[in-house]
Amino acid sequence: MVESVVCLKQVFDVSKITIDTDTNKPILTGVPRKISDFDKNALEEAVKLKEAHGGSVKTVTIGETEKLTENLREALAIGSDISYALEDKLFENLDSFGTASVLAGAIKKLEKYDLVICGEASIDNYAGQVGVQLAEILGVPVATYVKKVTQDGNKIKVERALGLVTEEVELELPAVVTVTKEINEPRLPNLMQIMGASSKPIETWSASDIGLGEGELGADAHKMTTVDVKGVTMERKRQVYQDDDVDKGIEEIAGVLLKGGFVGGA
Amino acid sequence: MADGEGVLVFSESNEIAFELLAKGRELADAVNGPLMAASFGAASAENAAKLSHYGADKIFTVADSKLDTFIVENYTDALEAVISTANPKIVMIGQTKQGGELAPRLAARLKTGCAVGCTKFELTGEGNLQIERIVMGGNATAVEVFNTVPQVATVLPKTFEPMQPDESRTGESVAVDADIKDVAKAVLKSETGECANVRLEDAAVIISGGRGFKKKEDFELIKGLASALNGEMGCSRPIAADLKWLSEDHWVGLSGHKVKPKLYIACGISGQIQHLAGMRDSNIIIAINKDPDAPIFNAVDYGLVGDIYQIIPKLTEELKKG
Ligand SMILES: Cc1cc2nc3c(=O)[nH]c(=O)nc-3n(C[C@H](O)[C@H](O)[C@H](O)COP(=O)(O)OP(=O)(O)OC[C@H]3O[C@@H](n4cnc5c(N)ncnc54)[C@H](O)[C@@H]3O)c2cc1C
Repeated sequence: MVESVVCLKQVFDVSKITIDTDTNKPILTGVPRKISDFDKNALEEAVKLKEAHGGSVKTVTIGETEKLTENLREALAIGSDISYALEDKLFENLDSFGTASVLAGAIKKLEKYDLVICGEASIDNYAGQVGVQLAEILGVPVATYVKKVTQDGNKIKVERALGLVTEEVELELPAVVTVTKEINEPRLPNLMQIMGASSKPIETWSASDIGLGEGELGADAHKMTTVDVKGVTMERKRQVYQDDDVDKGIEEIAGVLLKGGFVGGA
Repeated sequence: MADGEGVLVFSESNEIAFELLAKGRELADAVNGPLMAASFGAASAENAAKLSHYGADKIFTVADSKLDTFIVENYTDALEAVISTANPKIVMIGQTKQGGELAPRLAARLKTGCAVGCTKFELTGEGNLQIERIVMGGNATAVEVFNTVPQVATVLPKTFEPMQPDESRTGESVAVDADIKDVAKAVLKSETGECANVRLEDAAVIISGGRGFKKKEDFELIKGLASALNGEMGCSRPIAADLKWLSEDHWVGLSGHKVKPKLYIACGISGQIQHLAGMRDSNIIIAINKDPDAPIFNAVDYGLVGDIYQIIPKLTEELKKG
């Protein structure tokens, strides 16, 4: 039996973000929101553990319930038993520590948990802070970049992908792990599961529900402030050769490289 | 919290610690504070001398044998103890996978701010750290300031050049007593995989392959082109992480190595934003891809639309002709 909690972040689909060339700011209006990719791997792993050992899967997500519903229904269809939407004015513009505090507050309110699973990082911020901070706040051990989990009673054994090094680590539960994209292939829910999800619960909790307030989360409590976000644009020649021009292109590019001193010599 | 003074540098890799010391020196001088470093475990005394050669004024060591292996909870205890003795304003940590675990855990312990993978460091008028980092999957750069002390920031390897070591420099070494608590976690095994030992960050020319290749053996084509151009081989995430056709030291991108060679050639790589975030600062970018609409073509100086299996041999041949 594993009682798992999966932290799902709703993010803008970063592949659809464009940059306004006048203001040099990213354009977010109209960009669809989705569950961050690696968080789906986290959910998949939790569902697999439940299938293998029994137990339950709960998900926690910060955001406005209304904007989250579609994504949370998807999580329920994939195999979550209940999804919690954490919604409060105080949850807007949180830094990593604030985010981790909110998630930890929600997890502490749950009756019981064995394993918290997060993605290695979110696809928008790619910081990888929240899972680790969550573990610190909950006072439990953490393993990041996990590419394999096996459960054995009240312990889990994980493999961590640390670049060239693979580490095998044993953790006593409760614990937090963050998983890589390579750990599994997230399933696509079938029609039955999608329909079944509509009867599963989505519950909304506010700051006071999880015992937090202005003191912990208000602007004065923010550890960091984002003062500017600048779009990244690329100036490039973009000389692209197609069809009948490709052979000419090969010659011209070879010419550029030869002239640039890239060939021979070293 | 007390204000804190100076800069403390930590990385479990000496090489990265030396790089951080170079930037740390600048920041410490700007705030008229000391440049400090920390080193843990059996090698800490030996490391202390090296860290002083690379610029540290004061080195805090914790020799506890529990620190011989990197366990983030233990390292957090140790670094917390060092910080309460050293009282730095800024803490710079090397952004390895381990360092990326240590920094946020430490910051949460101290209830202070943390920014990871920072690419730029400045001080505000009030002497607070202001950093830049890539956000929105690579589409934007955020400028963030710290409101609390200490200000914990991680730095990617190769962001700064280390100073010339000066063996005559001796820093003051301080042994710190830290209460390293037991943790319900054990490292059972640590295996270093095969690696080519390439340092893409240093390469002048990188030829990368992606999922356009049908099998591992076909990377011979990349090898051939790389050898004609005296370059190193790179790849997209799926090639290293999923398929494991190349070791992870070849992995270019947001979650891999960030490179800026004079020449980058992407073959059979679609050019998703996360790949671009790792190579778009290259001087010349060339791509070969059979899909004219592949996003990589927005990021190139020269592009060839077609089959890598035909074009790479032709280009290699053309270069060999001279
Ligand atoms: C948070 C996050 C971090 C990530 N970090 C990284 C990272 O660091 N690095 C990275 O690379 N990716 C990263 N990714 C993954 C990234 O989004 C892409 O999935 C990945 O880069 C795609 O790799 P690819 O281009 O090799 O494969 P694909 O996207 O499958 O592209 C293959 C390309 O090959 C072309 N092709 C196929 N056959 C041929 C042929 N015979 N001749 C010519 N062209 C051909 C196709 O047209 C296609 O464009 C990350 C993703 C996330 C969410």
